[in-house]
Amino acid sequence: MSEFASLGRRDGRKAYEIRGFRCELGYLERADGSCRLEQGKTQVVAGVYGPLEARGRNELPDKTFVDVSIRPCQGYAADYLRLRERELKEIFVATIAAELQPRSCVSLVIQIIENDGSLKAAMINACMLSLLSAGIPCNWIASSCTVSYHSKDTFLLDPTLVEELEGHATAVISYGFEGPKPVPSHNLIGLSCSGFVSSKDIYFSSLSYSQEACKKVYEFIQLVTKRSQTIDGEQLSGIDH
Amino acid sequence: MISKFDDVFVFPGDKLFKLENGDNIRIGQGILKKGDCLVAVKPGYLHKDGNKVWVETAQKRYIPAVGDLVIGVVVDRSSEFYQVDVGGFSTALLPLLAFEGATKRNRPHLSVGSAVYARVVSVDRDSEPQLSCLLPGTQHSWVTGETVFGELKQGNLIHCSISLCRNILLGRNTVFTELGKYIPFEQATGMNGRIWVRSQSAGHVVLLSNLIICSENMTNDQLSGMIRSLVSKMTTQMSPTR
Repeated sequence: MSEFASLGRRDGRKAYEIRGFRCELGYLERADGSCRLEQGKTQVVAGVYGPLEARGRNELPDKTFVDVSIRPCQGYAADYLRLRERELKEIFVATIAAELQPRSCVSLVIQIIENDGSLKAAMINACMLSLLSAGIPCNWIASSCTVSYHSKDTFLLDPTLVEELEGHATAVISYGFEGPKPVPSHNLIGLSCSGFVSSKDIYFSSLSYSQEACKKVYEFIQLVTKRSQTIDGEQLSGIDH
Repeated sequence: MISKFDDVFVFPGDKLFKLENGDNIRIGQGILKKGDCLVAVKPGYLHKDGNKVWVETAQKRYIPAVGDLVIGVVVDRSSEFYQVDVGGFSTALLPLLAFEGATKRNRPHLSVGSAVYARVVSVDRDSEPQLSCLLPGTQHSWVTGETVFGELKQGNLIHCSISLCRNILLGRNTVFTELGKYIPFEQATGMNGRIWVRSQSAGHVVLLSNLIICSENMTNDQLSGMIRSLVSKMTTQMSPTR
């Protein structure tokens, strides 16, 4: 690898290192499930409302309707956010076990607090944490990671906003993990790429590195979820056991 | 695949175990059959009792299940049903005559907004859940006011988490036995995250409500200490001073 691998990045990370995560579950009082997720300086709040009774054309006779809306830091939701909403909806329609509760509606609301790169991946991870805390039935745990392609043979995982702008292409890669440990099976559930990736080799190698990163995120999601249902090493739902 | 059952925390997508031919297993909340495998769809601790398997999740929203005792609030009435809000994603139906000893002429009249203690008798993914206030094997008519199920008059309805209700109903949380040592009260606990309490004065109801909510994240030892101190504080405050 070239300069990045040897010199490191501005914030001292290695090329394939993701930023630290911080999470606060149950951040919103009224939502059925919610969290505030920090991924480096990127920060989002996600809330899940549902399952609610679907009304009007949202009512699907055979499955749950999933609604995603993204609120920016200020102003209206711009067109590119509408596109993000659609991309997220596609991922979560697949993730939620929709056939279990027909004619219901699950509403995902995301508030962007701060954008410092990898925003979409942070949104996906935050939504997944909220879905788990709301107890919405899911087929797998989705986790996501951003890859930023730089010079001919360099790519960075979990780029900051500056690194995202410097690169010539950005891909958001999402995996769905099905456990149990030690070897969870994974499948690619979302891949959106903007820009031009220089070669096939770098593309496939970025896929395998991002898979490792997604697995780390998956383990983080598991850890947070398990801890939220446990007090002092005892089960919250079953103190006698 | 999971072979041991105690204290296993499962996540959505976790394959629990393979079904053999002739296995007789009842699956409950949070588990789905996919092909010949049982797969978890919710995060939580895996439980097994006899041939029943289920996942216990700390979720806020109630999902009706047959046999659950619930506290609902009447939101509407038609010629044959009360529509009752039980906290699920759709309202539940309570037939007008599903009360002990009720006839067309002589039946309870619930107004919109009244709380009712009932049990879930049928749940189907394609229709609304059905409730009933009948309890087979009882002699009391609804008129006497001594039935187990029926309208909950006066008192206070508390909204809390489903896991708290479950722990209270299963006897893991001893908040009511502890409180009963000091204060006389009536209570009804619904599986849908609602608890109703009635006591002699408004002050007692407020104290009970707060203690019940607080009991969720405490161990039983901590709880008995807290109840003792708060009750003694309250009795000194409420006793008439001269």
